[in-house]
Amino acid sequence: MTALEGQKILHSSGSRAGSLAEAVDQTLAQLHSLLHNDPLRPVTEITADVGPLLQTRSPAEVVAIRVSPRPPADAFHSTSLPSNAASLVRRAIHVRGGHDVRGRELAPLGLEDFVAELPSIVATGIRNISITGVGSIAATAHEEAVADALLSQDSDMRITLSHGYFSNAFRDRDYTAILNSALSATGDELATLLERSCRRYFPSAALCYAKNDGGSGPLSLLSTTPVHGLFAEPAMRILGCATLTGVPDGEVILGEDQGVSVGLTRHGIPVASSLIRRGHGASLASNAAVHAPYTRNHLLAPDAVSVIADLRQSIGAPLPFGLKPTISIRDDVALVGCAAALLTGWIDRLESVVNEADLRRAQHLAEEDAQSMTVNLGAAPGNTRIIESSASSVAYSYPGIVRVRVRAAGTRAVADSEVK
Amino acid sequence: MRRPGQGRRLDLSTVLARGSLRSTTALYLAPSSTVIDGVMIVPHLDAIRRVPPNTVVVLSTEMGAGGWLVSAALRHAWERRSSAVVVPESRYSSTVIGLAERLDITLLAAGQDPASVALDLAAEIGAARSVVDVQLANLVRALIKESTVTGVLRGISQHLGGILIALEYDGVLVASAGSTGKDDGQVSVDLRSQENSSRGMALTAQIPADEAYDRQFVRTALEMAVPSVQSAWLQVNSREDRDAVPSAALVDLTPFDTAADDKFEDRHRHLMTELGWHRGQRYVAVWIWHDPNEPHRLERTAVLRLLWRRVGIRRPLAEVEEGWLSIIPCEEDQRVAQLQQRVNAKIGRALAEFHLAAGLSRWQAENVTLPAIVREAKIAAECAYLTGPGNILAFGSLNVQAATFFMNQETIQQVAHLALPQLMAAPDREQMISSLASYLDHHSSVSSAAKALNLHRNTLQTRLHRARELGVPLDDPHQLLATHMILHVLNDVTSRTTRHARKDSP
Amino acid sequence: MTSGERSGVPATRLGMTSLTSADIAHLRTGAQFLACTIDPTSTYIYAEMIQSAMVSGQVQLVDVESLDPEDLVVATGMVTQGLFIADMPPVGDEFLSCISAIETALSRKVQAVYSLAAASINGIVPLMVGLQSGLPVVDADPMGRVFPLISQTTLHIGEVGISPIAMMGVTGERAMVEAPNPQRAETLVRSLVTELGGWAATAMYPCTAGELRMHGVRGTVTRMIRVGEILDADESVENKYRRLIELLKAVRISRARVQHIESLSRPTGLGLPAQPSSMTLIDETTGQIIRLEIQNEILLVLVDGAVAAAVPDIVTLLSPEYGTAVSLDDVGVGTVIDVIAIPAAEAWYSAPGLELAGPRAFDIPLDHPRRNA
Repeated sequence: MTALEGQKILHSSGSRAGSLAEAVDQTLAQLHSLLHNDPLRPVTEITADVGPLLQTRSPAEVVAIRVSPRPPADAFHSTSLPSNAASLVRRAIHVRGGHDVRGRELAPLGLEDFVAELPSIVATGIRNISITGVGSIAATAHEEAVADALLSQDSDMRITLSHGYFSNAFRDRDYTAILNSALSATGDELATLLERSCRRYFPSAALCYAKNDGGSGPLSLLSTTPVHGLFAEPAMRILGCATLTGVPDGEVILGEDQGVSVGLTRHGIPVASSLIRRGHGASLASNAAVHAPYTRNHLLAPDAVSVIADLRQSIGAPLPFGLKPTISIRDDVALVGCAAALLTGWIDRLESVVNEADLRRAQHLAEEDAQSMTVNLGAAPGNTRIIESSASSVAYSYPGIVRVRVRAAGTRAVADSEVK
Repeated sequence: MRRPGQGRRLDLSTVLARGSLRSTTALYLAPSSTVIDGVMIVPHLDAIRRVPPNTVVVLSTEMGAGGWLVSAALRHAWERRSSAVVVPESRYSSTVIGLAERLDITLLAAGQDPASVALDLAAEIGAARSVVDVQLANLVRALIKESTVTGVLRGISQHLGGILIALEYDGVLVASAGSTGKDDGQVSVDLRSQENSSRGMALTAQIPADEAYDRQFVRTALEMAVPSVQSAWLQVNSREDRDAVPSAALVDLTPFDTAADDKFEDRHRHLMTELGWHRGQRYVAVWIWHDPNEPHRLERTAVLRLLWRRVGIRRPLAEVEEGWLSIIPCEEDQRVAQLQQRVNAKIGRALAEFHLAAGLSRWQAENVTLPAIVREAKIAAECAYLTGPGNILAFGSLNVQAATFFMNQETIQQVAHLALPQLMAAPDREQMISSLASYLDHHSSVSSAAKALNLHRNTLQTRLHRARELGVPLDDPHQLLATHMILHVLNDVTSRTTRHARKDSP
Repeated sequence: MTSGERSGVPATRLGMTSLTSADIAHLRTGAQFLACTIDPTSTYIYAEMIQSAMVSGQVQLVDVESLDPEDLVVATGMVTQGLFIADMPPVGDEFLSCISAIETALSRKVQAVYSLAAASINGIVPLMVGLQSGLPVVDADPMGRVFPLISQTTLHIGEVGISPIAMMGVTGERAMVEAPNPQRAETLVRSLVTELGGWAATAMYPCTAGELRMHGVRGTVTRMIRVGEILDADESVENKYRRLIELLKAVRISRARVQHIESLSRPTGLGLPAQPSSMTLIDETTGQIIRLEIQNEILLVLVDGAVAAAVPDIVTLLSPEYGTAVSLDDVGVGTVIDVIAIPAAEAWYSAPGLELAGPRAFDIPLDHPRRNA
């Protein structure tokens, strides 16, 4: 646990407890006794990094529904998933349908055949469902129609639709939807647990979970999009170092026991990309902080400010590559990041434009949508800003198709002291 | 543009602060002080290569449309030591500005039409040289409205009291306005100062000696008019380039295949429509020939187009390989002769000065394909050139005689196809050709020829009779030499191909 | 190159090599490197599919010289317009159907397949086709790189016919195009592709091995593998560069940091898939300003406004930090990249080659520096 005020760590401690619930309770009790008596320092927000817990808990089994014009004709042409997701799929069902990049229907949705299969899906007893449709980033109708059919049969199903996770590749969305669906029960459970304990000690604080992109989201979303909190730690470390050194724009070099890595911050927030790549296999379609191994070939921008953080537990030996640390921290700097994280929202979409004015319009609309999304997450309407906005043409797609990507961040009305 | 004397040069910072560039936005200002000797509007990248040092380069609106073009233009301008580059106002990335900074060349954005910035600046350059004169500025403003070269010349002339203003190319008048008096003196400015080029375009004014005309004032007026002339020139030329495309395309469609000729109109219906070709309409082609050994010069086409207007024919002049081509509708025989006279009277002297010659196709009663008349005009033009630059010949007056101008067999064959079409189409043409060639070889003696050919006299007589029917001019002493040449070439070709065929067969 | 040099697997016949799983991995890297503007995901997917399918079959790579000059060979490749291959990869029966349609149309058996383009997805697709059909894959292609139009081939320059073209679309619908003029074929195929769902598996340019030998670009599959071997090797970035430059006669134009990215950056009037964009970079050592003009491919590189490379040169990007191929999707403001120019096949620098695939063919009003050089 770390309590942060401004750039200063107020308190930091670990805890030993028999169960997770106990540990959470103990930690919050400690925090309460530390801070609560001071009315000038109200706890406004509590952010938890649940990534390590999500990673260690065993995920649930999933029924994967795939919507495409034609199913693979042979075993070799079915795309393979990373083993951690492949083993979760108890049953895979093909439904005819799908759209092209302009949202034109490739094949009519084979809803009747699917409805005939419904009883057998229910019979598996599995309640975690992923639905991935070809072209769903351009048209969501088929994924939604399949979800409606499922919910009409059993309203308790936990369904993840792939179009919420932007990638041009079916397998990325499929993988992400499956993993998200498999984690949603755990996410639900953690959210309930944290909510219960926090309410006891800090009834007025907003509760959040740390996200992969270096931002935070309301705890209530942990049960629907747990996948966005799965790998938040590197982002939070970058953010933590940037916060402690007061460098909003620059490179953050993390010297850790397991090696040296580098990330970037812009406007005080880690620079993120829309995918978490895993070699040549399927990527996780979740915005995540850019974080790469540091090499001796690394080129520092001449005018950029760099944070070189020595985060190693073993003291004494110099950092590799002749790096001279600008800050040395033994505490868990990721928790500092959590406490400093802003609410973030992003828009990733394909747009069809005919000219430059059209392109600007589409980009502007996406910027407005991203800001209102951030407000929906809890940010005060005047406290949001765009931290990234781009519109890029996509090679070999279709004339006029551009990908618009916008990230926005915001803070609540008052944010003096934040705690994890 | 003429380089003014030291001390009267314009300084970029002054022009920016108080002068005609005041309305522009400085995207980057080079810290070093810069002088301005001239201004030039550039419509495409290559044009910057002709810009003299200390010129303000103004990019046309189209040029400014792509950021990369601006980058490339900055580079060229820097290489030419230009004073500044003016671009149309648009979204310019910081990196275009970064490049200007790197090359240390001033980059300005024009809110209004870049052409009018150029014209204002031209006026200022002139004003700096002589005493400031409101008249000059008015002149420039008036010229902005003109879109044709003659319009611009007329505008200058009117402002200078109706004196003769002429646009000359290599000393040849290509366009003019106003009238000339006796004992006129001359003031002349170069339109394009091309280094290493002794020839070029000039704007000339004839100044009456008896009036108190200020030579310096006239010179300044001409210098200020240069961008207007250039701009009109470019506009007209690019429009004509577009219009001339179908005519130019005709030249590529030249296979000598009568069967194909028959279907020509069907196969190229689209091209015919573009040309405004009507079925049944008769046409005559005019070809202007230049010596293929002379280096090609871009601006010559523009000059010729201006000259071509004097002939008074509203048909485009297309630039083609080995010359220029125009296709003109022509309903009656006499019109060809009239056209020939008109071309001769209006531009004959200019053609001679430029070492060019022109040829016209025949008027033909029957339907002839466009490629055929194009070939006729080309051959006539080449013949005309061989008789001397400035000459104009019509294929109709040449006919088979065209063959005598050429030593190369290919052209002679082409002449044969055009002048003796019936003979060339005859099924027994090989036999006819060898008989006729032998007949002429033997000085028109039937007996000797028959003997040499191992034929009966009557047989040869019959063939000669048939040849006359096919239009071979065996009895006109003027055409005999040419006919003889053609037949020789054809006979050569025929016997060679037969020999080939024999050698190849086992 | 002989087979023994590269692969541990012995040659099955003269000029023929069985590819290994490692070869496929290298080819994947090479195929990405030679077409850095294209999202490599579909290439990754294909490499994975091929590697898993190789358990039960072999991919034979054959030198065009060792085929009978009269053998019928056909190009296989994907043509796209409106659907990402990574979003809907072929289900598996498309190419076999196209080949059999060509065989029926020509009443001849196809003896080998070759790549429509020696980079990106089409560099790897024929290997799967070879695996499925048992046909060898010819170590040659008609582009020697990727071009956006199917008419932009050295076979077109050599006047080898493009038709008949067999196509099968996303939903299993089929079409056959007979158009002797490759430019017309491009127009027809592209519009059909949209109607067929956004991509089509195609077989085209059926020709003899002799014609492919004469007018194709040879050794290009091996080249992709070689490039991959270098880039995938566990050695210093400098060494990789040295070997790469030697292999490809490449030039490193600049090492520069991205400053600005711009979409729809210049007017375009041609029916080229996708719209233009530009990227500006700063070389922090020399201060040079680099500008990349992109439309499907990197078409033009200006260094301080002067032309440093122009299509048909192959321009690609490397990560100076890791010595790996960089995908344009991963390049953002602040990224440092090496801009590499590789000469295209010699045929592209001939007058007809530049006409077909020089800057002006992409609406860039410039002559290639090698024109009339």
